[in-house]
Amino acid sequence: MTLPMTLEPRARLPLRRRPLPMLAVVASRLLTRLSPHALERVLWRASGGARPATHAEALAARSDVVSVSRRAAGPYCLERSIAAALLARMRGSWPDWVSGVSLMPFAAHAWIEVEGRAVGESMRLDAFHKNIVVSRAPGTERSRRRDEHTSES
Amino acid sequence: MLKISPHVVLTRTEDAAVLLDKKSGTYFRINPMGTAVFEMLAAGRTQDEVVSELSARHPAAADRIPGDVAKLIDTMRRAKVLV
Repeated sequence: MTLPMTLEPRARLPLRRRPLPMLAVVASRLLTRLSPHALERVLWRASGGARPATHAEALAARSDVVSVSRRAAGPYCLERSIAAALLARMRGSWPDWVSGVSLMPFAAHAWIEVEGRAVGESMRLDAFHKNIVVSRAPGTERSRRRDEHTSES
Repeated sequence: MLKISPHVVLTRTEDAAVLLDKKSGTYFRINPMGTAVFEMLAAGRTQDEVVSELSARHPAAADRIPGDVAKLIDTMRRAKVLV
């Protein structure tokens, strides 16, 4: 990923709020080893049953991921964007996960979006063309009652 | 029958284009002629149709076009852009 090497501003998360973001970061690190095709399928499956994320939910997920992972706060946009999407999913919602490419100069980037608006990106993404978008898999949102009684692994 | 891999995505602008192979995660730069050939093949045209279309567009280069298209198609095959 050929992007400026700056660390994002990181808030300190209280200890009790760290386990989920850390889990999302670990899972995302494993997923970055997959091919884009396999990654797309895994994310699409994961998104099933979620409600659409609000901008605030997506931003909170992204900030929490950045606060527990130095790599995600740095140039690892793939890891950061996957972890943010997974963390939002663990909390019940799904933002769009987007991979894009800029041609002149060549650069690849990945980020999350809500209603077509990139979430938490300091960079202007006008030069990027989306080549993979994982929106919510169509499926029934689990009813609240079931959510209260089932835990998602 | 020349078939573009279903895992290949073309991203193009006025003056540049790349292919992403989602199976391997590889990006390929592709020049304007490559882009034209890719798009014609994606639309289901045969190699002969691609050659005659390009020759009609660029009559001055008509003698080089069959060889160039064959070479490009061979490269696309080896890159698994064509399956």
